[in-house]
Amino acid sequence: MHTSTLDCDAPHTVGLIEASRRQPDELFLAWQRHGDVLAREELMERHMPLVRKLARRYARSSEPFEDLLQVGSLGLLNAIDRFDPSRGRPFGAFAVPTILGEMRRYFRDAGWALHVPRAAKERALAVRGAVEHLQAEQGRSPTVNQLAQFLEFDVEDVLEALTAMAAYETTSLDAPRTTVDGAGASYAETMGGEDERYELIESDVVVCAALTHLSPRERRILRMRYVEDLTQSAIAAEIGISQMQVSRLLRRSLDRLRDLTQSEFEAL
Amino acid sequence: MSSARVRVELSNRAENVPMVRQVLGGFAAAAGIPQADLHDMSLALSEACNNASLHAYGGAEGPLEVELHTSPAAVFARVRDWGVGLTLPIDSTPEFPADVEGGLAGLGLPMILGLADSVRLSTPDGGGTAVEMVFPRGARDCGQLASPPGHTEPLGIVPGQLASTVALEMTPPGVAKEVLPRVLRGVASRAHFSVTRVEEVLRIAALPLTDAPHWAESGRVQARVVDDTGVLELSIGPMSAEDVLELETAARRLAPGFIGTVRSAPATDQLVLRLSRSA
Repeated sequence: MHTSTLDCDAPHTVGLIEASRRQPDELFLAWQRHGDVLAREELMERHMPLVRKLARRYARSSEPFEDLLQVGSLGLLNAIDRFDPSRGRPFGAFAVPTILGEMRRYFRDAGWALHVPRAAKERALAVRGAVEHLQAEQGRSPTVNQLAQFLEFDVEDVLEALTAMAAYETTSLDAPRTTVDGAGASYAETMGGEDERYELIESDVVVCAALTHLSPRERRILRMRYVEDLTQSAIAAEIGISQMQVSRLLRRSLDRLRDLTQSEFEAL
Repeated sequence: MSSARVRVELSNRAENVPMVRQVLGGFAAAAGIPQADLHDMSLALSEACNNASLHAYGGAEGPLEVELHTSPAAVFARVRDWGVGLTLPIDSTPEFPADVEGGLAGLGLPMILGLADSVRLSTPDGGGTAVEMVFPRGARDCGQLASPPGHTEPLGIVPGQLASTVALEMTPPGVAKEVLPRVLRGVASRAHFSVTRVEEVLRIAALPLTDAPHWAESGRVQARVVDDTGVLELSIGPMSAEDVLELETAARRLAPGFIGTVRSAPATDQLVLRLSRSA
């Protein structure tokens, strides 16, 4: 592999293309011993996917995710400062507890109280609505899998919502239940919302079918961009192609999807 | 609750990791573990179980045991398998995953180390791997690993039924009240019971946990849930023969439509209910 000299006076025009050939150990030395900001930047960029991965696992819902990503990158910075490459241990293993530590602190201070109970409550309401809707539609009580599919929730989220609802029902058994005529208006409102959602699912089905015409790599890139919400440069780094290529591939895939689904949508 | 305990034995297949989280959720509700703590414990426990699922039996299926118990200062968790074991210094407390040769060296162990207060990996008597984790309760720092609880006869999964069985031991009955419904809901959902049917199942399962029986002085509830292709079999005990009869009658009264299949096992101290998916 290429070995570069650790010259702290190197002109900053060297840029990331040059820098990206450097080995991780060199990058740590360059930053820790010589204050090479570019080296730190590159270490950050290389390890942001790890922070992202941890944030995604740690955030149970989408809401605190962005915040966790931010505090997680602070943890990463911290770990980059303190890591000692001469001990011969992988950086990732060293960094994970530090990054998680930052996320936990934040989550306990702000994230939990703010976001999580609300998300859980919203899910419970959605599940209740979906049970009624599916029951009315198919004439029998839905299964948990059907609910999860319908709502695009994890099965576990549905189970959690049902547990919460059951606990609520038990404690309020003596409370007056809503009467049939009283429930009329709100039920109709729910129906409207659900119908919209259903259309979304239908269009998903069409697109899903079209996706099978794309190559695995094209699907992967689409997924990274639109499901995982990564930037084009982040995708480029992870796949090992240039950002321009990512951009081209994305545009081509979207064009093909549009062609493939056009007729289907018109038929709907 | 000064000391609550649950022990669950089930297959290491990946779909059972969510089941372990259901058990933990119920345990946390019974033991009064705050939601934020539960969140961290759930992640750590999942990582340990995922590891057992992927690596313990070289990709094959085998039993997995998870035990949770509380002391006033800490929550203790142990994930144990009887698989190929880790190549690592026995009873080590690894600083970094590079200390471990084996499956835990991915993201799993670093996460566990980042989430639990202390962690110990060991090869217990009988082989396999045990991952022990301690979580402080509230703000208190418990520091040390609590000593593992003494047990342990296996909970008795019938050979050939490993894939479809969740076996539980819970102390006191208050723990069973929270854990058992969640496990039943999980198993019944997996077996494609409708949500209405699941609630009926839960009402029936609640009978032994509310009225009779008077649980033995030990306060220990043993339960087994088997998914037998669309029929859910719940065994619960130990209880007296009178309690078995009384509860069976009560169950029939509660859901005459679909329990035609209640069957008690008078030879044992267990109430056995077979609950079908459809009428």
